[in-house]
Amino acid sequence: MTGKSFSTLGLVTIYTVVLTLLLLGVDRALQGGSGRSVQLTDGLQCIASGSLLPTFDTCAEQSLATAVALPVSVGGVAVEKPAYVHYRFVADIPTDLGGRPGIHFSHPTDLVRASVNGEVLAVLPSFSGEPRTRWSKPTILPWPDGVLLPGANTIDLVVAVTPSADTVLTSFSVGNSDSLLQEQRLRAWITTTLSQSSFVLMMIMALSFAVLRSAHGGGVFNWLIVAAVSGVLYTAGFAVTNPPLPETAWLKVGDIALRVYGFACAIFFLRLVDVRHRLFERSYAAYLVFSIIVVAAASSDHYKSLSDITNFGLIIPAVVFMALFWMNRHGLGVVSNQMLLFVFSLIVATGPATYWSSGDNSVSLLIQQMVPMLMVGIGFWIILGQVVSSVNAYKQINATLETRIQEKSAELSATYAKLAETRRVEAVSKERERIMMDLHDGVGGQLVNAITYLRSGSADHSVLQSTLEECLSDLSLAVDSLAETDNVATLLGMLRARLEPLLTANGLKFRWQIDDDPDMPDIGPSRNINLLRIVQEAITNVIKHADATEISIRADKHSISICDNGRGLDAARRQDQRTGGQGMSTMARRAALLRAELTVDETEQGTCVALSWNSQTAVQRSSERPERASTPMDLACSIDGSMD
Amino acid sequence: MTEPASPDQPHKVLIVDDQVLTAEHLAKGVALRDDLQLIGMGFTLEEGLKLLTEHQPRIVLVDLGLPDGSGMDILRAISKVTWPCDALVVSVFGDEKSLVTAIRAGARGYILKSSGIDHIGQQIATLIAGGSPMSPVIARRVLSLVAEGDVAQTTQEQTVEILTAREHEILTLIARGYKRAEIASMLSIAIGTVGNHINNVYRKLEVRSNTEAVSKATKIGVL
Repeated sequence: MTGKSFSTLGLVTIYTVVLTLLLLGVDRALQGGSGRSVQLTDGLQCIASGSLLPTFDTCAEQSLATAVALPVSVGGVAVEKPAYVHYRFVADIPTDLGGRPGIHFSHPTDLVRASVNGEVLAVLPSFSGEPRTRWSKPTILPWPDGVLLPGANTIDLVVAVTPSADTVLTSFSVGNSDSLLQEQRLRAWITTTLSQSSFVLMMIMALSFAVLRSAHGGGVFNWLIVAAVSGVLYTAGFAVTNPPLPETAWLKVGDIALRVYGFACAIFFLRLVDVRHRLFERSYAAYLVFSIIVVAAASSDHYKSLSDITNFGLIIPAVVFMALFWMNRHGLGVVSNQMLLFVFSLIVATGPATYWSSGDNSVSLLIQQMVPMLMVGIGFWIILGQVVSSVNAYKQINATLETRIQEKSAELSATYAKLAETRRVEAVSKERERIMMDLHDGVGGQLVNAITYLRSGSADHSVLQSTLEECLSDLSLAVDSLAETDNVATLLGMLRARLEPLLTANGLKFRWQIDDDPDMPDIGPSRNINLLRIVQEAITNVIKHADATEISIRADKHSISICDNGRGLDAARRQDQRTGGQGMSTMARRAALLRAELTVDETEQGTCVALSWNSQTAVQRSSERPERASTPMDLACSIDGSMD
Repeated sequence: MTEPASPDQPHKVLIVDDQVLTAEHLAKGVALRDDLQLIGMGFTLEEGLKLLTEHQPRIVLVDLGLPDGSGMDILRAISKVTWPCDALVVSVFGDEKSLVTAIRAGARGYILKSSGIDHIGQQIATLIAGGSPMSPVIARRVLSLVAEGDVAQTTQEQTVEILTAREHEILTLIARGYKRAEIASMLSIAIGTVGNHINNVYRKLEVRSNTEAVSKATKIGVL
């Protein structure tokens, strides 16, 4: 054991001792205030005569003291077998009590018969047969008219005495019946109603725990059921006025039940704070079994003392339990912990306090009666506390969950954004690649040509100029295709503006007819450049080979056509064959990339190169004949075929 | 702003371009025409601004990319001068985004660096005669600006003065690549009238205060 364990043990012990002393003090204070309205003049007598009484064989042992203060106790060992003891008081009772006189026994534990001036007030039901001690109700007995005498009155009380337990005659009150009734009711409520309620409550708890156990399985419920059942047996001792067992046996049942109850509660509370101390539990169990055997086997004569001794022994496991509980209390709320420790200590303290307290008008005894109910109350408090804390925890979990959902959502949207950005970057990069390719093929090639001409000195000024002009024109095309706008008509307009000087220089005229903004699919720079290159190539072919005077450009939603009034494209094809150029096939390849149809229509009036598309059919065609769409050369051949 | 050219006095032209060859090419184009007189060439922003105030030219050809600043500053200066003065931006391709900003800052059009020298003189003369050039891309961009302006108008922040139906029609045709003469014949109006409409569009595009121009251009995403 650690130093901390010792200090906790010490603290708990001191706590319990202080509570014991406090209880004793309270008991003492309460005892002092009893026996109010009767002035016993002749003191207490023990008489052994009277025809009504079955036996009076114990009187010889009783003191015939002339002035004895109540309560008096007849030791259990003083009688060898159950007997009756007859007490006689002579008291000065004022005749003017302001109402009907009566006598109130707040704890008439073992009272069986009472009479005043020879007039019998009551014979209690047990005044027959075997004398027995019993827990009886507080009793008020009204006096018949004319019984009260001026001056001294004789009060006779008969109490049952058994060898196994002390017989106690507590103080009693004489006075106005009406005012005594108030006190009696309060007493009755405390001793009877509460103990009976406690009994009923324990039965309900036992049943509830049994139901819960069948629904949720064993575990802590086993201990709760053991505690509740033993609680039922224990509280029955207070609540049942006519015990079904002989005196000592009944007392033993309550005694043993209380021991088992204490053990079950201790184990339950240790489980509650998640403590499994084998050494303690085994030692406690062993001692419990030992004490139960001792108590159960005790003879009536020795029961009382053996019960007291073994009960004192239980203080040790009780204190150790409290220390263990206190050291591991963090599983419960602060209030629950402190309350539990207080109640545990109080219960433990009632043991010695009851032992040392003289008489039965004891707070400790009352607390002992209430122990099961107290525990149920605490259990309810803990459960309530746990419900509240679990509700709080639930709220907190919800809040945390919500925060996490928000975080995750943010993460997710960030991921989506990243993904979208990645795709965008990828798309941009592909576009860039295409345009770079275009610039390489066009501008790059022309610039290399120009430099080669310059180095070799083989070309004259005009060749260089036209090369560079073509280069700039190519570059303009690329720049236009990258324009902010994707409007095909505007792109064509830009191309026109750039080619116009060339056309003018070659004596050609534009006939421009854009009826509608062409509605081409797949907007973007690479579409633009493919489109512009097709139109540019068609126009260049006309300028170079067609020998025409007019080029008409027409466009509507689904087509663009470039027509001339020249002599056809044979020259262009011948040029391609001669130079290995791919002007015509490149146009077809670009058209395929645009998912558009390129047709060349040559008539005597001239040639028409038309690009037409229908977003729907274009898509369908490309999915039906993917191999054709992916091999531009095939398309080029088919076009070449159509031109032949 | 544009005034008819005086028959006896040639119009003074200033060229501001940091590329000497381009500047000289433009100068040759100017020199070809009797009605134009080159008063100087500035190769930096500072020189350009100095020449502008010294000689009070009628026409300024401005390159937007200058070593010591932006040609936009010259445009802003021109918009504040007291004498009639029009600016043409010198452009390589004629479709740069900055052209619209330049127009909004007061430029009356652009001139292509690659144009032949005779074409340069022709373009300047056309401008003086009241015909600002406008490429299809610029027309398209202006149209989209107007659409944005319509939206902005509801929020009491008119970006561009609303165009008339005719101006809109003409801009749409320019955006489709039609030439001024073709538009005139299609709409059965005189070529000069088409030019006037285009000038009006330029005027509507122009934002008076320079800071306003920049801030508005920034807002509508031109800058």
